Amino acid sequence: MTTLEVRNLSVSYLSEEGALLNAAEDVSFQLNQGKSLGIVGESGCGKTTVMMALLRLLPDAGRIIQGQVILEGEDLLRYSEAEMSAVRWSKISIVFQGAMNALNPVRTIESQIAETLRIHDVEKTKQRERERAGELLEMVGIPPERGRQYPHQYSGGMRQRAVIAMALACNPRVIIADEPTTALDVMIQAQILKLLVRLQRELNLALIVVTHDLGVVAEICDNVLVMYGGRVAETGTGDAIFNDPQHPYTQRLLQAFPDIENPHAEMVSIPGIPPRLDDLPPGCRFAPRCYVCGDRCHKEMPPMIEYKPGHLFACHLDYRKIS
Amino acid sequence: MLRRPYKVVHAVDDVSFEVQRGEILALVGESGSGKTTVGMNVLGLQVPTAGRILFDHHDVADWARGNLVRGRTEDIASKRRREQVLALRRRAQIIFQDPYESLNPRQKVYETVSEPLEIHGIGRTKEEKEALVRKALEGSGLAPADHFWDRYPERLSGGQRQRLVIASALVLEPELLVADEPVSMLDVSIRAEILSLLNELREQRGITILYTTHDLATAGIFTDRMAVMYLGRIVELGPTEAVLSEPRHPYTQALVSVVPAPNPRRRRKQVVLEGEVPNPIDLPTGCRFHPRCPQAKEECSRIDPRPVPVSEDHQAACLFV
Amino acid sequence: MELIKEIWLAFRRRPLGLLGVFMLFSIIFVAIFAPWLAPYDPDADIDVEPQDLLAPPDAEHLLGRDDAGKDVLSQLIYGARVSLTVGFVASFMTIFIGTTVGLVAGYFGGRIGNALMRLVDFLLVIPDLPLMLVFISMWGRGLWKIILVIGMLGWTSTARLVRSQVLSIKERQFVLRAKALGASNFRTIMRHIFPQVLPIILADGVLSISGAIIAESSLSFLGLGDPMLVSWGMMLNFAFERAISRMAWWFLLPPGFAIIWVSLGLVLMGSTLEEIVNPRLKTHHLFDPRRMLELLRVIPPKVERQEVTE
Repeated sequence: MTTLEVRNLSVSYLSEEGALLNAAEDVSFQLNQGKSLGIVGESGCGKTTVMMALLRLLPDAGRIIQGQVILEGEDLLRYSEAEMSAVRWSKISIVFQGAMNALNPVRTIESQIAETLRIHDVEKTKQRERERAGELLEMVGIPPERGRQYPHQYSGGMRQRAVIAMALACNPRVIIADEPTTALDVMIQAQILKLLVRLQRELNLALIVVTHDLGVVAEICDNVLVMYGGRVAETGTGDAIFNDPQHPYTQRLLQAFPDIENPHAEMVSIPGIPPRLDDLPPGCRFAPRCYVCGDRCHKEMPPMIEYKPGHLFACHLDYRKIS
Repeated sequence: MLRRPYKVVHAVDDVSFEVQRGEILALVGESGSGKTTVGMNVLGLQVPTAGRILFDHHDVADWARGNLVRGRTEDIASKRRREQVLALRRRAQIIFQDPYESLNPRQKVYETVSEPLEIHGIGRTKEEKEALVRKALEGSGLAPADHFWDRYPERLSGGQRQRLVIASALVLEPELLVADEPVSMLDVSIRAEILSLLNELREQRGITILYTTHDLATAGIFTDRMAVMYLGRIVELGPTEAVLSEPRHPYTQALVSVVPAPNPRRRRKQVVLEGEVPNPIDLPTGCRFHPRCPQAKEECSRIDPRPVPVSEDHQAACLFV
Repeated sequence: MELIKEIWLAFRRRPLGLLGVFMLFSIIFVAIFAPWLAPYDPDADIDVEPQDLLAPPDAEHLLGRDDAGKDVLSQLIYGARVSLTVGFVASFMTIFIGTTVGLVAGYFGGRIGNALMRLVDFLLVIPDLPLMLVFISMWGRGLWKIILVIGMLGWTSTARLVRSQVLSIKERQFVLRAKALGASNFRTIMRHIFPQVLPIILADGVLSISGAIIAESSLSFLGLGDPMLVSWGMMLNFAFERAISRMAWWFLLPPGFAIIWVSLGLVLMGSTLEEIVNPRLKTHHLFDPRRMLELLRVIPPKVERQEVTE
């Protein structure tokens, strides 16, 4: 059974003047147990908004306009807040972006993990809580004795591991990692990615990695969803997206990604900037920056085309890949 | 008065390298490697404990010792000192990593770029200054200049801000530019633009660039030579292509192996080092890298290797190169 | 200035702040237009009958008359001038001295900074009012002396505030960049550091006006005010001495009420300003919630429910 299925999710924000700004539109994807999905996009593409919507953690001005979030057969969007709290952390949990810098500085790591356990009534006794916190630390590669230390005594990489441990506390089915390696050194990044892969395998997790870093996605994600301007540009397996990208944005994005084995390949960048929420183009969101766009692209929203089974992209033009 | 013995942090220890005019040198390393410290010292923004920094035959280190107060930047008392400061600053500039923090939020674009001119007394009339500002803005890709003239930084994107920072450095027509992780906080699709701009500056104006980063892949794109640093030492130095395709030091090898490749089909043998870069206060004995080195032998904990030439312009500091 | 515009926009969304502005400006209006608003001239000599002394309010004297037979309302109106003058001038002095000290101590640190801060500590420890009393008693009474005394003693908290702000601002990267460009200390302070501190100084300034007015009122109340001028504090002084026994509330309450009115207005304005200029947390560049934060409003969250379709 598909563990998580998101259908036609649209999220908007209510501006001060009362206008609805569409942050994410018509986003759909599926995730199976034991698989990982990478959601890639640059700032403002809506990927974090979608994740917040999944967990119903949008700010007050956020509105879920339409869609379904089906977790193991149940549509979470129909849940009440009370029902959602039961789901959060125990079924789906998240490693927030920058969480490693948001740890409580005056409490030990162990006690912060224990707190997660306590809130969700996972263990019966304080003793068990401590033990479980130790287990979790070990699972993420931190010696349990270090649980009694404070966040400032941990390095960046260790804090990230601690936050991952917290996300695992209630044995969730799905874990969302929002920019898990940004701001970390490249060797630590590699360690964290290796950890995520291992955890996913050992615990049979369904993992969603939200990032702007294509390299991260290439390393650890089975499937990829490319977002731009709040909509899905392309989706498929990692192999398909990286080796046979169809959407002009994906193609350009890949070309902009430096390849260490081919360092002097032509440096490509995409001129312009992503659209502002209050100034979205009426047609294809990428049209203003697209190098193959036509008239129709500026006026009409492109349909999702199934290029090959499981590999879809949203574009008006049917063209061959430009090298 | 009691004096406690204090430990010294060797942020940068016995680092030597040369950069030719018009060359782009990449200084690659992770946190604690000392790369940013090197950049700051080269510009005379910090006081080095020992050593020389020869910028076109003038010793910046000496200058810094004479002009900076330890622990603070620039305590300019006399006019002569002030002139010396200005002389250096005009020729060597820095671009910082965070485009959101390195701009004064209350300065408009025009003010940001004209400030260096005012500081150095360049441009006698308003028209002259405006022309220079315009040139600098356009040279950094912020064109048409008038479009950006009166804007505040908050209305600019990350890439645009970084260009603005570059423009404000460019307006002085410097000879040396230290770019400290200039693109690591920008979106991937914008990085190439900024790096390509830096490359252009070198091609068209002959500006020498010192590019510090922890991202080997970006360094690979446009730099001529690369120095890899670990815990305050240069462990490998050579032409960029050579260092990336045939790294000789185990640390460089590990770094190159874990750089993410945009192709899941390419399964490489990754050397993921355990642990973290140790605290510079407690340096390992012998080779600084040996506790984490997958190829470490017994001697490595005793002997601190000197750089060994691998080929005529490529060296690595390892006993087993 | 751009700053004023920004602040005004933020004020518009905060009704309490606007109330404060109204309260303050109403008093300013009264002070400026006193000659036209006051029915009588408090300095004029008048003929008084014994029954005019402490006469209760009537049609000709809306707030009655004081112990010398003069119209209370007119005194109240003119009293606004004194209070506001002292308030603004003294607090300007306070802000000026405090900011300068704070900027220098914070930016240069070292021995200068330490010395200045020790001076600040010294002055902070001594209770303000008694010290002011001592000065005035020694020095003599007079409006400018009062202003000077209040200004000279009140700058310490501003200095502390400014210094702590400067300490954190000077570590910011744009300051380092300015130095890297070759900016002199003076330019760095005036162009880069001061503009960042300015909003906080404004907020502190508004609150300090209120403090100055209360200080002046207290001094006058204690009998140390300028004998030539009528101020609210002086009115309270006379009222306490001479009117209480006669239950002449019209002489006692209005000045007290006026002081409360203007202080409250200033405090409302000042706290609103403080809230507006509170330095916001840095946000990570990649997830730009600034856009989201701009849109936040207190609306109960709602989820549109859909039927699950297969």
